[in-house]
Order: sequence, then C-alpha cells, then structure tokens
Amino acid sequence: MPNNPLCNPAEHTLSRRRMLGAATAGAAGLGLGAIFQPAVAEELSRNDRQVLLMWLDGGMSQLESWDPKPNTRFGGPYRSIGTSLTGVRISELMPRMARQMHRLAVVRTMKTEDPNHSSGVPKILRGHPKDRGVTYPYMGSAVAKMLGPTASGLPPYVWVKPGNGGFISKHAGFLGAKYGAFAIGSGKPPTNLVRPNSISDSDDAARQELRERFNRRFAARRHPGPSEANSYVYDVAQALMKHEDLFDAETLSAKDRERYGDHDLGRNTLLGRRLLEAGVRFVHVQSYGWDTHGDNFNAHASRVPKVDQALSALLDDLNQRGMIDNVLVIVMAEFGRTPRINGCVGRDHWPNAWSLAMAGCGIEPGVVVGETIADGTDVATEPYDIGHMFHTWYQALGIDSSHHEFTNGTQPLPVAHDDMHAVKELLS
Amino acid sequence: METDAQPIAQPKQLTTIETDRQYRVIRFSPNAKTLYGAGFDAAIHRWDLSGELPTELLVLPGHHGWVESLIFAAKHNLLLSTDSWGQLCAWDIAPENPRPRWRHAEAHDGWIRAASISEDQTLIATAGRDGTVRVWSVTDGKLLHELPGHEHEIFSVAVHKSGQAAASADLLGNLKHWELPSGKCVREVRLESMHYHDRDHDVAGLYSLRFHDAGKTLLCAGSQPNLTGNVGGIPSICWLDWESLEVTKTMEFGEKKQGYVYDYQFHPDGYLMLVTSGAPGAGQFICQRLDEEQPFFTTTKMSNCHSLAFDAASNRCIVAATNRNSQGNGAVRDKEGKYLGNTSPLTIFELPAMVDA
Repeated sequence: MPNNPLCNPAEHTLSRRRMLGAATAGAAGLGLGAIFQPAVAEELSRNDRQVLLMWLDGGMSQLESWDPKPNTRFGGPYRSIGTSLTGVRISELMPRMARQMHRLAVVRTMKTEDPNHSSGVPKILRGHPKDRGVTYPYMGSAVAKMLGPTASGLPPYVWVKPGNGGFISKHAGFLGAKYGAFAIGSGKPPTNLVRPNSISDSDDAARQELRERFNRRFAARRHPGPSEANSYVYDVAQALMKHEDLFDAETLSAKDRERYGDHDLGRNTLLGRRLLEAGVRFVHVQSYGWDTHGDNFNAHASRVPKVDQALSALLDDLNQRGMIDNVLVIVMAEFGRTPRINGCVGRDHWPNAWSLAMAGCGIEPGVVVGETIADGTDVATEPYDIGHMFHTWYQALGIDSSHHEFTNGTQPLPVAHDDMHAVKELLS
Repeated sequence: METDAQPIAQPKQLTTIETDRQYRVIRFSPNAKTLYGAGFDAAIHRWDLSGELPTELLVLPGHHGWVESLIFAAKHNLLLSTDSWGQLCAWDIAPENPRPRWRHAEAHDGWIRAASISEDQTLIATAGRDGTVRVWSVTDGKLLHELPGHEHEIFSVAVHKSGQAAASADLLGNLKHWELPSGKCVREVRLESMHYHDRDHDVAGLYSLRFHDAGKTLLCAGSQPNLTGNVGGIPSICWLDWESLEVTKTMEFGEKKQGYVYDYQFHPDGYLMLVTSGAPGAGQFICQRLDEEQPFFTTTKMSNCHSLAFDAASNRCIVAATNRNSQGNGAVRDKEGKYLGNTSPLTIFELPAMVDA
C-alpha cells in the first residue's frame, strides 16, 4: 500500500473549495499532526475560554497610541490625554480607550528581536520559542489545539481579514493542517457556504455519505494528517453552514454598525464579536496597512481612531454580555515604530521598546506594566519579549505554560519559550 | 521699455548650513536679516544672517508639539506662529528678543494645520484637526469669525485678496468657499484627485491653498496621492478658477515617488520655485515658468525637502531638506551609543538674474 503523504491532482476532484485544497496541501507539507497530551485536554475542557486577537499588521506606533511622549523631540504632533487610570496618559487619538483604561492592561516595555515584517510576524505570532528545528504554530492554532473547539462545533480558529478567505494551514506548524486558520475574507462567507435550494436534504445527505466514503478510501492509503484535515474542513464547513446568519448584514443592528465603525476594522471586529458569541474559540481580526514609513502622523490620525472605536465597542459589548471574564482580548502588531522621524515624515520599524494591550479573561484590569525612557528610545524597566506574553496569555486561559507541552511525534515541546515566564502583574 | 526677460542661468548653490534638528518651515524676516525656522521641537529657532556666517540666536519658547506656520505681518512687526496643540501666537519682532504680543493657547482643539494672512495684514485665518476655520484680528488676536462645517480634518486655508472671503479644504479634498462678513459657506467643490483611500486609511493630498492672480485663481498644492504606508503621489498644483470653481490647469512635478509639493514661492520675475518630498531620499527643488510645460531647473540632490524661504531683495532662497539616510529600522546610534535623530540641512541658493533678451 502506498503511504505517500503527498496527494496527486486526481485525488482532489472533490475539493471544490479553495480551503480544502489549502488544507490538504498544507497537511502534506507539514506531516503528522502532534497529539496534545490527553491530560491537558481534559483539564482544559473544564473551561470555555475564548480569545480575540486584534492584529495591526505592519506595526502601530506606540508613540501615537499607548505610550505617548508629547513635547519631546520624537514625540510627534499629538497631545496625550488623561485616562480612567489616575496618572496614566495615552494619545489623544484614543479618547474612547482613555475612558476604558481601567479595563485594560498595557505593556510599554516590549523588546523583541526582529525588525522585519516577513520574519517578525511569524515570530511574534508563534511566541518566538527557542529554535528546535520545528515550525511552531501561530497562537490561534496553538489555542485551537490546546482548548479545542467549543461545543458549537464551529472552527476553533477563525481569521477575519480584508481580502481573500480560505483555509490557511501554514499557521498550524507542526500541529498539522487541521489546526490551521479558517479565514473569512472581507467578512464574506466562504464560497458555496450556503447550500443551493436545488439540492434537497436527502440529496445533501447522500452527497455527504459519498464524500465520507471517498475520504475513507483516501485516508486508508495515506498518513492520517492530510485526510484528517480534509475531513475536518468539511465538518467545520458543515457547522458554519448552520450559522450563515453571521454573514448576513441584515441581521446587524444599525446601532452596532455605527458603534464599531463603518470601516474594515469596525466591521471585522463586529464580526469577531459575533463569532465569539457563536462559539469560535480564537478569532484573529486583521487590520492591514500599519507600515507607515511615510506620512506616519496623518496615517495614524486616520487609523488609530478606528482601533479606538472598534476596540471600545468590543469591550463594552463583552462587558455588557458578561463575556469579558471568559474572553481574552489582545491588541498588538509585530513591532512598534521608531522614535526617529524620517524625511518622509514617517516612522520605521522598532522592536526595541514598543507597547501592546490586553483585557479580559485572566488579565488584571487597569494595569500599565513598564516604562520607557523620557524620549521613548529605550525601555527604562524590565523588558519583555513575546515569549513572556505567551506564558502570560496561556496562563490567563488556564494553561500552565511552564509544564504543559506539545508533542510533535515523539518530541515533547514547550508551549512557550522555556527561558521566559508569565508577567505576574498582568494576571488577575 | 518692456523686456522679454529670461533667466540666463540656473540657480546656484552657495552653501549648506548643517543643523541639529528637523525643520518643517523656514522663513526670512521682513528685513531678511534673520532666518526663522520651526519644526518638531516646540520652539522657534532663529539665525542672524547679517554676518559672514549665520549665527544662532535665542530660541522662542512657549509652543508645544510641532510648529508648522510662521507668517510675518511686517506692517505690525509681528510674527504669527501656530502649533499642533492648538496654539496661535503673535510675537512682537521689533525687540532683539521677540516676545508674545498676544497668544491663544487653545485657538483650536488640537493641531492647527494651516494659517493664512490677508493681503492687508489685518486678518489671519487658522484651521486644523477640529474641522473649524477661525479668523482672528492680527493686531489684537480678537476672534472675528468661527466657521464650522467641515466633517473632516482641515489641511489648508487661504484668505482671499479682498479680505471678504476664505477657502478651506479638508482630508477628503472637500473645498469650501466662506463669505467672511456672514460667516457662511456659500459654495463647495471636491477635488477628488487630491484624496486617496485604501485599507482604512484616508490620505490627504491638498496641503496648501493660496490665492493668486489678484484672487482670480486659487492654487491647490500638494499631491495626487496613490499609496498608503509609504508616501506615493504626484506632486501637483491645481489651478482652480475662483469664479467657476473649475480646475483650469494642473501642474505636475515628477513621478509618484516624489510625493508632495510641500512649499512654494513666486519669484517677482514670474517663475515658480517649489520643493517636494516623497519616498525616502526623494526631494526636489524646482524652478518653472508658469507658461512652460517643463521646469528650467530641477535638482534632486537634496533629500525630502520641506520648506523654501525666499528673499527678493537678495534674490536668494534657502531650502530646508533632510539629511541623507534618514530612514532606517531599529536603533540608529552614534559611536557613543547615542540614539540619532534626523536633521534639516539648510541649503542657500542664489537665484538667476534677469537680463534683457
């Protein structure tokens, strides 16, 4: 019997949807999925915690957001404003968040290694663990693996992004393709999500049975990884078909749309909230275009208020719905932006002293951790790397990151950087 | 005798003054004996130009954030300055060390993006992030008109030669005609080519308004932007017929990497001098006659040029550019480990003399 993990084109005749192709191809490239220790899964199943990551791709300036240095050489044109936390000031571009600072925890002393997008993004989203010759999963895939799907049966890791959707298996790393990201492009449902009226229930059931039969035949001649991923994506697509209302703009209140904002980030964050309510474990909301090498200050004047609006509405809703204790909200990028202002009136890449924010599940509210020096060009207190944050976030989710391990085949692997630790001040 | 005078030479670079900081605007004092400069450090800097070499004078403190407008009212011995925290200040420049004659710490809520003085130097209009145009008396700072109505940040404002009207333009290129006696917006037009939107980012292109040709034309300067993230756009000046509000001519200055017209001045001999800043390192100093398609002088030797000061008496100008290699990821430090900022070299040009054809 051939045991080739790779597929051939003829075996994809049922893979009409782009996400299926991506899932299978990704699985083939990644080999066997890891098996998370059963004891951990059992422990984690006792809670139903969720995550929403707001990712500001390209790098939001800490100086025009969480760590302003007004009236200094590199401080930029904007003022700082007082917040609901005594003595804490943030940029005037975030007036709504200023009123919600008592709900947030902000780290102002992020000091990471990589100033490049192409290598920095995956490092940050993987928690930059020690190099052991394996490809670690993105946080969304890791959480999907460790906490699994909720009882909703919806895909545990959904990526809401502008542009195209699909199934992004590469996020899963060594976990195997089925832990990849189910990407919803521009808030639109995956193509062919809705079953055509011309297909009756009985026809649909017959099709599913046929598909499963083909899948079993396919799986019998292959490693389990690709076929598991293949079946898995069909299963989550089936689950998603029951929630097509999530993608129906008619079901949104005008008030909600106004509160989150009539822009990509607002619409995608609102969809993110709805996905959390529907039971998605990990929602990654993506905002593109933060790489402001030129015209940084006008760009941030245009962009930061949209973060302010969407994040504020999200925190309001999670609080009002009683979800905030179970949902971890993280706002970050791959780095911040240089204090130095270049000739294009822009700021460049800056991993040396930047900020991120979090709120909700397991996080101490109303905390600002760390200080940068007066002109923002370095940290003044203990620096933190992304590994510290991964430990913190996993522990906030109830995962003992110091002891729990992934298993990649027979290789045990720490879930976060083994020389780093959770930041106690951030944990409630 | 009327002459058909033509420049016979190119502008000649005389020298460059190195500075230790970045300047957004430079201007000669009315007697051209002092150069004023302001930028990112909340102060107004001055150089005495009467000697062989420029000598730095005491700075004028009291501003916050960025100082972007320096406008002289020579009739009143005043310098009017604005900053990004909303302050408008009138400095008495008669004394050796100028001091404020009046100031409004909160003339606007936040960044004052533009200011324009009337030809008779009685009015100054200001506008910015709060979407409101305000018109003040130059001599005593009294607020004369408050003109709300823009839904977005205002980037440019101009007082008409008559003193009876003003124009303002916002982030999206919406341009309004204000009647000053009544304070009403009487006409609107949108310059769509001077706005760009992509991925939740509105990019303004209309950075400057200025009346020209006895008020018959409104010059709309800046860029036709087409990129976010990095600066991308064609530096442009649109000529808007003030009566019809129609664009009659668009002057473009280079390709899209050149970005924006940041500053310009008219030479008394009828040509336009302007500076541009775009992608990293991209800067131009251009001289072009209004009736010609191409500049008679362009230099790209200076990086990212932001301001141009012109003195007609000495027939010279100074360009504020940016040091080379101003862009870079991570920490750029000197040998002692000090974090380096960028600077604005000030390059002095002698301008072409005019002779009979």
